[in-house]
Amino acid sequence: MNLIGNICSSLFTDLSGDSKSREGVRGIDASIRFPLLTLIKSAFIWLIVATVFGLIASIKLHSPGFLADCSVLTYGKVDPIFWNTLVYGWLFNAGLACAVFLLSRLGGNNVGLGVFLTISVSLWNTGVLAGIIGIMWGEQLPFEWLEFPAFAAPILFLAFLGIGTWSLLTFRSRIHRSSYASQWWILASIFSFSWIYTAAQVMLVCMPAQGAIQTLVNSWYVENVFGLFIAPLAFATLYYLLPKTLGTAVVGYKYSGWAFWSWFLFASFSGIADLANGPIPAWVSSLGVIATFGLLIPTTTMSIQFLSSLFSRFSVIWDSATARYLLVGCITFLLVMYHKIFGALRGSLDTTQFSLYDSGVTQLALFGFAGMTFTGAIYFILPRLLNKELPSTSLIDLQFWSHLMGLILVSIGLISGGTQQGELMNGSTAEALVVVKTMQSSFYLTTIGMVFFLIGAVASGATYIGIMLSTRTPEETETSLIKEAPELEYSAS
Amino acid sequence: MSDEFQNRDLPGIDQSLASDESIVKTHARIRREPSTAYPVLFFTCSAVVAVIIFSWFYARRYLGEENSYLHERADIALYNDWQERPRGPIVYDYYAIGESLYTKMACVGCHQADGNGLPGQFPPLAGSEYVVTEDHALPTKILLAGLVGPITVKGNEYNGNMAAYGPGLKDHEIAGLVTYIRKSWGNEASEVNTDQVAAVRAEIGDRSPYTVEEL
Repeated sequence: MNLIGNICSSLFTDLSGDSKSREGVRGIDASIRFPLLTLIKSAFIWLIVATVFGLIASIKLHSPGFLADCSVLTYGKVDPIFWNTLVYGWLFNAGLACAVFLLSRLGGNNVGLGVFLTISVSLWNTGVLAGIIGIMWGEQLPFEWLEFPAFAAPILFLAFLGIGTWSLLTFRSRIHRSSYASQWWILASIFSFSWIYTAAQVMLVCMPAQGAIQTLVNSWYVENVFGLFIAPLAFATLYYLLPKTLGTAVVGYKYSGWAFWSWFLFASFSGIADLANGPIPAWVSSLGVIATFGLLIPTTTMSIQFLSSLFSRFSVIWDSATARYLLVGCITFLLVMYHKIFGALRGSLDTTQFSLYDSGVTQLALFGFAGMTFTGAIYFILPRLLNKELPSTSLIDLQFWSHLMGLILVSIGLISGGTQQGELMNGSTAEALVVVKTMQSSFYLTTIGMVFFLIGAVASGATYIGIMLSTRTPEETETSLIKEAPELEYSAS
Repeated sequence: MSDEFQNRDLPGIDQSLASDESIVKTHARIRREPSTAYPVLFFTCSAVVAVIIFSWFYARRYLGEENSYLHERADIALYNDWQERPRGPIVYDYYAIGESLYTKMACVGCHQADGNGLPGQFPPLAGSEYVVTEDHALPTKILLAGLVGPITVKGNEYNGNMAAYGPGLKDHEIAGLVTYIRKSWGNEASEVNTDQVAAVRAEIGDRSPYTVEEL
């Protein structure tokens, strides 16, 4: 895609349409308003649901008697519901909302088909709801992040196909011949997810592979949902919103192609690294470790691109809430990749494998890197869709700080607690009960973090309800609140 | 667009500082023009070098043993040493093997635990001239190929049918059984070993059950 973009941009350097005026942009925003609001609404609802279940699951770790009598709320059901709503509910909806907005805006054209997109989005959320009810019913499948019962899979697949088709049509109808990094990342993530979801469903549910291959497929899938879908959407959002909010081109943008290709080369088989010491030949996980280490290349390129751009206009983060979210997203991305790359080495796995460490890194990646980036983007998108101000900046500050607090507490609780747990379990003299007792403080920390997450989720839900229900001021009805954006100046970088 | 709306007037909106079209076009131009973003280039190249060096040494260390479930060279060497540990010739306790097989298999059903058989139906083994004979190949042949038709043992007539156990048992098991019946219930004949059974088996080949005349 990089290559195609290059060829196209050198062939058709000046084939642009006339979306220069604010009116053209408003037309685009209007055409995707309803499906986008559906995506954002569902995202916030699922975020609240996910944090409630995450809180229950976290409380159960230190107070096992909590809600123990309710069969629907046993740990075995609450924990998968938490992860599945977090991934397929919150992150998919929020990420796809960013993808839809970015593709339409960067394409500069109004493809229409809003009804088709809305139906697909509703179908997706119906599928997630059906899956959650299926888990509560006791029909869950035994595969991580694929716990939804088999009947939910075709619904989700069809819905995703609909959203993907819409994205391809939008990309195809773009008026600028040259493509932008965000578009590559979004399209690649859409193709990737169709591929990994089909492969995982076929090899685990339709025609189950035998024995140890199932664990291989499962850990490949879990890592790829993050590496090939959620993370690319977050990168796309960062590539788009950094120039938007900072008013400067992405530093070192020339090397985005390297980052793109090396990320997809290595991320696609980095997940098998956690199978070390499992019932598969040693070379499989060794290959995974090498692939994970290869992620150092795109991580270096992109983190320097993003952070240099942010630091070149650092004062913007005092004015722009979105830029603040993006800054936290970039820093968390570095932390996550540090833990992923060095945590995959055999020496670290000796301590961290089978402990809470993995869960901590995953939450840091999902709540921190992806969650922060998508939230910032949604706060950027909402006023443009509705031509209204966000109802309260203090509500956004509350959400930002409580989300950040939750992030710090949960990741310290799970990552350092998990390391401690692994060290204790490796000591041959430690009794199981002693290990659990030592872990209590980490579990409490995680619970407090989850409470903060819940406060943040409720605050973002309140922001959404506020902006939807508030009556328009005279300015809001008469004029466009969104100022005409200045041109981005070219400077050699 | 009126000018009275400034950024500070609208804290709830993040104003865009770059138009979409200029984002696409400016970045497309950055990709065409020569780059001056040396930090990105430098650190990316450093990462590439680091990854190549790491992968080279890691692959040399851990990808060598294709079919091993063990990771560490030391563990693999230990396992290979154990596999190739020196093993001496196998020493069988023929009597114990025979004792165990005799009661587990059909032998005990006809010839009985005391080796006396059932009068009129199954000939005895205890004191039988066919068993305690100097020629150890005789009982071995009967066990390997079976025996049909009338036979006189210790003066009594029997007319039965003994199945062939040669196809189902290994040489050391046959040797064990023959040794056991030749040394039990007061019998005191020589032990039979695996090589002797193998020789008899090779001599008689794959044949139908004996009759007394053929022995």
